[in-house]
Amino acid sequence: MSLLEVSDLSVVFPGGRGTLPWQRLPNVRAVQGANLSIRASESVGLVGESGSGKTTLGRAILRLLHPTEGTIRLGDFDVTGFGRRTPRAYRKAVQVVFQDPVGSLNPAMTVRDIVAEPLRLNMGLQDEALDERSAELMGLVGLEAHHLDRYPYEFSGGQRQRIAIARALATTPELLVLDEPVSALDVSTQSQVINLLERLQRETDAAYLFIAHDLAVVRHVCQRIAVMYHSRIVETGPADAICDDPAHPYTALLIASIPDPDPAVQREKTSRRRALGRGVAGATGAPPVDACPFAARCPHVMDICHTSFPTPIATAAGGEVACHLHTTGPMLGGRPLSELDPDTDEA
Amino acid sequence: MSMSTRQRVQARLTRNKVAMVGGVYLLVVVIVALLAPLLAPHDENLATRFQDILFSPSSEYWLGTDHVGRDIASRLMFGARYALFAGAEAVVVALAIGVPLGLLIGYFRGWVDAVVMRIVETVVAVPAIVMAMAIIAGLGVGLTKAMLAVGIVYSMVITRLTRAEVFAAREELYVDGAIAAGASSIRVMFRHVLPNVAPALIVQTTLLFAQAILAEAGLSFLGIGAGSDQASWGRMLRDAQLSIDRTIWPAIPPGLAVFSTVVAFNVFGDGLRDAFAREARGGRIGVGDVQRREARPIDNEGVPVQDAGGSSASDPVLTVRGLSVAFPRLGTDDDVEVVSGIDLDVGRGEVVALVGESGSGKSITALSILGLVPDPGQASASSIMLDGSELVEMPFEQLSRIRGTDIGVIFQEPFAALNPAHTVGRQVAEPLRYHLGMSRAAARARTIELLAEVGIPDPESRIDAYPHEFSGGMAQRVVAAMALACGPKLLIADEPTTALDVTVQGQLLDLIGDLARRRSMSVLLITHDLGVVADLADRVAVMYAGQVVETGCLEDVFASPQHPYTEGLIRAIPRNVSRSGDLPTIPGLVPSPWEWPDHCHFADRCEHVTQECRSGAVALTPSATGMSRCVRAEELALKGVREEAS
Repeated sequence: MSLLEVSDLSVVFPGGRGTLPWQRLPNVRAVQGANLSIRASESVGLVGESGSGKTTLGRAILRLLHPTEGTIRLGDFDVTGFGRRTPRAYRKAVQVVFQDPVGSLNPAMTVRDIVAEPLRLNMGLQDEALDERSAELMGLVGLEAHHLDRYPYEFSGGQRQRIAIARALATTPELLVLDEPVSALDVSTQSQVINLLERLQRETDAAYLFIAHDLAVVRHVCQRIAVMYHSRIVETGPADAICDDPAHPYTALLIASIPDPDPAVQREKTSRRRALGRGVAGATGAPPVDACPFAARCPHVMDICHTSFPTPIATAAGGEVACHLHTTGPMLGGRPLSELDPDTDEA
Repeated sequence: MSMSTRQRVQARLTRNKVAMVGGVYLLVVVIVALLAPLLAPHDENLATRFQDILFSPSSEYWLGTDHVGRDIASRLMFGARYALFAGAEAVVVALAIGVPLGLLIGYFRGWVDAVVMRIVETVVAVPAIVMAMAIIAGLGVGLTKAMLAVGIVYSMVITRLTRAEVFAAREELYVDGAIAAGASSIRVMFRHVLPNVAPALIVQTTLLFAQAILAEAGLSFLGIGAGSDQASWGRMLRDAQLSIDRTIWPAIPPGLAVFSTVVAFNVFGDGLRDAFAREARGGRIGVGDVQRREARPIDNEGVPVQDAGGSSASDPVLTVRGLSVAFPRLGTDDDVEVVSGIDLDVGRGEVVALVGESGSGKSITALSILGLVPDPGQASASSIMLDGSELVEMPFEQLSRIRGTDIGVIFQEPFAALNPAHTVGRQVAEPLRYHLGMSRAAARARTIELLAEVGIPDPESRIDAYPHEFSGGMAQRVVAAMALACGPKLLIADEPTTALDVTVQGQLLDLIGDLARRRSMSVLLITHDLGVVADLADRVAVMYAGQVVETGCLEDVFASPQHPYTEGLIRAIPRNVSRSGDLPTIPGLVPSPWEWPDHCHFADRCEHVTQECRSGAVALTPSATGMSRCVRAEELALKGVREEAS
């Protein structure tokens, strides 16, 4: 039984006005037909490049925007069925940490007010109980109670992110949406926050939706990974299987593109990356709706890839992949991509 | 500890002398207004002696008397009361209507916003004083009613400003965070949005105060403001007009009072705006040229300078010696060094990576080489040689020519480097025309070649496209073409791929590497990403807290680091390997420049620290693989990338 169940979710943003008043820009399909489930206490990574729709999917779960189609369920909550008001119990159950540790904390509020806000609003805590819980939360994230009376500008990026995490954990949520929580941090701070997030998950049993562009970070934190490309989820599966032996050509390219600090490993990755991507990245516009979005860059592209989006099928590793290589053409049937061409796809 | 926003704004405001003069003047006006009954030598409304009309200034009547014999000095002092009262009333009314209305329509938008904004635009289109007169026609005359009318008109300005500020504040992440935390719309508006639009409102309020004082003077002069027993400045002007055929004098003191008070409010308001705006923009880029500092026999903080610190380049294109950059520390008279004593060499065709975390000084080092130190900073070096020419103390024009030709630059944000109003072709061609004096046709042909060289498909048609028609990766290629236009000897690439997606990053790195090889061009790569370094660099210089702590060949430094900080960085990166417990970390934080110790800068975070590390400055000395700034480099067996990978 999963905690979060996202089914056939689509988010379409209406196109804005053009240069002239009667011009309308085309609608933007941010998320199309996304399916995603998270079990209680599980951490799932949502990986993709900018504009892939990963943040939009997270915002739909947080009810910061309304999806165009599809359903979101969390436990007993029918999230897409909520009216204008979001129930307090849902706000209590789902919390968020954003990427930008500067922009995500109100500069005009003390840390005490920031951390206590969800406690006041959703738990009705007051006075001593509030102070006690606030101090406890600060301890949980490795800060001290006396930090509560300071303002956000007095803290470094990593410390601010700890404050944001303390606030998110205040109501002991069942699901924490982490939107690029470490990508604005320096390397040495980043590893501290990653360790903190892992420890907190063991201690609080919250489920994580970890949204990030860095697959190596996600692999470290998450048990399962979903890969998004241009509004579509193209592959899901156990973290190790996705990272070591992907089934989708885009996942393979993504993995080969993460630079490694070992120069020897990096030389090998560079040649693999060149073999896995076709054309010049970013040279083409948005792909057609009824096509595989990766078709323009895929080295294995077939005619059908330009005309229909593949139906996801189960992979051998226990996930799902949406790629015509598995259903038509070479008929991989969910086996890793490396079986197609052992020279280029071994990860 | 850094200063709060309020302290920084205050510090900037107090340094603005004109604004401070205005502020002090306003303070005097307020004191006079408060103490008018004590200060005024005569009653402001009663003639002292019936015959003393239209007197010139004297010891009894400091500023003379008016046409019915009232003391002008006394009336002027009481006039300050009416001016401040009138201004305050109008501003309070304007804020009371404008702020809630602006918050409401800015937050909810929709049709209410559309309707309110049409009304606002209509009201604002009519001159304020005419609109106020129309409202007074409905309300009736008198100072209080007149200023109520003025306040209503000004509330439109406040509504529009608040709405625009709320639009911007509504997009802040902390607003989304508050909604996700369960805050109601009212709470979000008043607790989260309003405090952060306050600076703009404070500035606008100050300026409106000045306008309200003018409006009071105008309306009272017309006889629909202050009554005959209210000694406002506008009323005094009206009374002076009755005797204008006999003397102009009674009009001069109130006229000057209105003028000077309005000017004082305006300069103070402008000062406030500058003080707040600096906050928003975070300083401007100025061109502080690099000062020469003679190579001291003792450099590197008390340690003798090594021959060619950390270099193995036999044919150097760039040599930097003893580069330091200092910034004044706001709120103190001290300068703080943010980069101290950097030595750096880049050989011909060589890619040298300057690696470090934020605050290490790596970007400031690059800007100093270009002579582009941000405004209050002071760069000094004993020498910066670019292929045989000394850049230190080079005249500005000559240096900017070198910046355009011999040095090419790629920064992190491609769209910040491109002008959105011009085609990319024009921007790539500009240095060709300006520095190389090419004809229009020749420059266009060369631009197409350059765009093709940086891998832009179909350059013949893309040359006429505008930057917004390019993706981030393509735009960065255009920036690369601009940097390459005049055949630079050195390319400075400051985080060139940090803003790009990872699959785009790879191709950009390939491009930079290919260009360096093909053109025998040297590259100074500034980055925080060790993976990018491993992809591209031949040699590495690791920076920590303003110093180079280790240099050497890429393979050597990453395989067997000679400084504990390098080791810490290498180990802290999550790599694409199966998860296994905690990531190694470097405890603590990068210290701020004013916290740097005299001894090893890394000592407080280092797990290998001993007494010796804290006994004095540590020099960059030859190590097993290059140079290292660690006293224990030889005895420590530090782990590199290979140990971690296995």
